[in-house]
Amino acid sequence: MNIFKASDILHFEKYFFTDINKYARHFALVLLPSSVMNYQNNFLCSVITSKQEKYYSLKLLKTRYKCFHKDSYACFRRRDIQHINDLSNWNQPVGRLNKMDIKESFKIIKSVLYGAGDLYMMATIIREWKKIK
Amino acid sequence: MTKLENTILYLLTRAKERDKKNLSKFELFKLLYLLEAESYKFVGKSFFDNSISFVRYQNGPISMDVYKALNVLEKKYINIAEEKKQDYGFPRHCISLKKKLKKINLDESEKLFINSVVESYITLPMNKLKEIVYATEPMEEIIKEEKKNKVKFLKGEKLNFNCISLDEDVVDLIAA
Repeated sequence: MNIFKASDILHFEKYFFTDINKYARHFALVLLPSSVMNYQNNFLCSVITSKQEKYYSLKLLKTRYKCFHKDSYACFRRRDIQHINDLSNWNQPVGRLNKMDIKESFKIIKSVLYGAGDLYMMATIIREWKKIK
Repeated sequence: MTKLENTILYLLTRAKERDKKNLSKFELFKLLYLLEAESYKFVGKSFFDNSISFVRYQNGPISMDVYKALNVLEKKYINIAEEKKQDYGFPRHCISLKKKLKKINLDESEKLFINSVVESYITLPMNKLKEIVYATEPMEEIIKEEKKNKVKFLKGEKLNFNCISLDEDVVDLIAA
């Protein structure tokens, strides 16, 4: 089993957007690691983009995370299941959130999840993020 | 098939994926108990929709409902055999799947929650697992009662999951 954890930043050659059924090159933040997914080598991720999202996003400074050329945004409203084979051939993880950003992310994740209404998904993500908080 | 039966089969499947070819009855009872306790802690309700109960026994919680479910599953889905494990001096009844199952009837998010709970406890030795179970609120409550009544243990007394407090982050989320 791979060793990536919640709060790792990964780079995907093909990030799959569940809602529009399309792939694109993207950074993403691990929300749930493979160890708890229903299929081995899958992750639950939130996409990271350089385009600012107004709600439920966290600004990740390029000065803090060397993997980014621009300040970027983890978009927590979006949650997609990715496969390890779709990672790029970069050294992974390309980054990991620092303590302060983990705390901020956790706050945003909780508020997004509350609206989503899936109790056991919410419980699982909270349980896993508490381990790294 | 009941939710409990599906959950037992899923736990065995997950254990196998984590290179545990079987679970002792001791482990299975403790994992099911912890799953129920964690459901009260993180979701605020029973994982099994209050369809099962656990009672106090010598080595912690047991459930007659689980025994009944195992009897049902033994005919078609599981094997129960005595086996000696490294971390215990005597043989124990161990449960394994007869064959790989194509479909287990649980919601995907319920499976994720089980995975998260299993991942926390499945590699622990039995004494550590027992220690964690004894540190849960229903067990602490009954142990307190036993001390008050000056009895060794309140055999058969139903464990009260309603005494489990919601996780502070879940409370925070609801309050926001």
